[in-house]
Amino acid sequence: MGNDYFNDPEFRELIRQYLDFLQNALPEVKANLEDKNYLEVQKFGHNMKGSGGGYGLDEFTDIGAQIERAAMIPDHVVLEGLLTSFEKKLEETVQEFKA
Amino acid sequence: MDTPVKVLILEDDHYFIAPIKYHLEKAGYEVQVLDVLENAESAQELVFQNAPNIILCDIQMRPNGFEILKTIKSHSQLRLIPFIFMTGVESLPERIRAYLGGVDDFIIKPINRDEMLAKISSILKRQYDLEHAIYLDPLTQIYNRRFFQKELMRQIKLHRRHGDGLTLVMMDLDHFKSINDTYGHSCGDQVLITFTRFIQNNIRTTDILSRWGGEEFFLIMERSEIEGAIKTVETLLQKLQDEVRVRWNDQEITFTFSAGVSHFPTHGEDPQGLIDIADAGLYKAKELGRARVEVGTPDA
Repeated sequence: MGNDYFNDPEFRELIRQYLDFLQNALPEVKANLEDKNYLEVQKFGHNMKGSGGGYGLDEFTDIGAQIERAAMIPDHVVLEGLLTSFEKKLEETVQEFKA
Repeated sequence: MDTPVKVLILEDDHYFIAPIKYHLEKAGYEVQVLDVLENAESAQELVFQNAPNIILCDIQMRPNGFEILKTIKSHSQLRLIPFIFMTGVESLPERIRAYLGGVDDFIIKPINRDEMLAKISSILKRQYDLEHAIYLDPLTQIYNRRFFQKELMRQIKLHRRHGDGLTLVMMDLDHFKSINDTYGHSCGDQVLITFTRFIQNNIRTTDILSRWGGEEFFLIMERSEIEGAIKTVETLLQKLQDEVRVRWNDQEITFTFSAGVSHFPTHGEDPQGLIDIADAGLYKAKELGRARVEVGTPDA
């Protein structure tokens, strides 16, 4: 997060809202995976691929791209691993952001 | 013409748009986001209403970005607005299809702020130069006939939608030929420039002055009723007579104008019909002795 605008309270509020959104969306994404609703999982990955980098969260963009690709196959096992990694990364980012 | 540059974003993913909107607003743009669109035709109508300087559109929104592109580029008054696709899909056939459909450029997701701002700035500068060449009168630097005709049509639609009145004023400089004949065409040019500057400085920023041709001008007075508009034009005429002089070879030249007025919706909704009625009013003003304002009648 090296860019000047990351310290702007207005932009930090946008990041906070985005992290909240992801935290709230994650249980539904996991439920969709459990139900083998791969299309919804793919959409989630696609959207995160597009939006993550806009908040300076490039790793989210990378994970989003991986989720999208795995859901297109679909590879259930890989998706489970990706969502677990993402959940961990999201929690770390939230803690880092609050610090 | 120092109005804010308007960016219209057509995208239904709020969390994707939020940082983009932030960056554009910080860069001084006026940003409007349309995230719910019934169909491509409604997108066309909203673009028409908002009159943006540039459009950023997601390819994968609903309706599909290609459908929106097609309706915008098929509209005679909207097709010149720069159109940029925002996409994460880099397929070559899609890019070719977009270029052939009239798209100006792409912004690839995830969006890089600096690249996005540089791209928009570059496209808008080119667009400004293009519009300057197409829509401005080179002598007076006010809008020309081409712009006036396009804008009158747009304004009538907007006023119809909001239930407002609009006054159209056609002005013609009195005895302009004799100014040219007596003092020469350079002096005539100076009179035209002085006149347009005077009018521009004494009307509302929302009123639109255009040169129709020669010494004829049109003024579109937004959200106005006919009585008030006539008083305004009469005040302009009096002030011009009292205060404005063109100095030419140690002489002071005064001049006046005659004006004809028509009103939407009083005189109908057809742009050409309103022009004809204002023209009839102008003819009447000339017949009655010049330096006056007259309302046109359809059968005059």
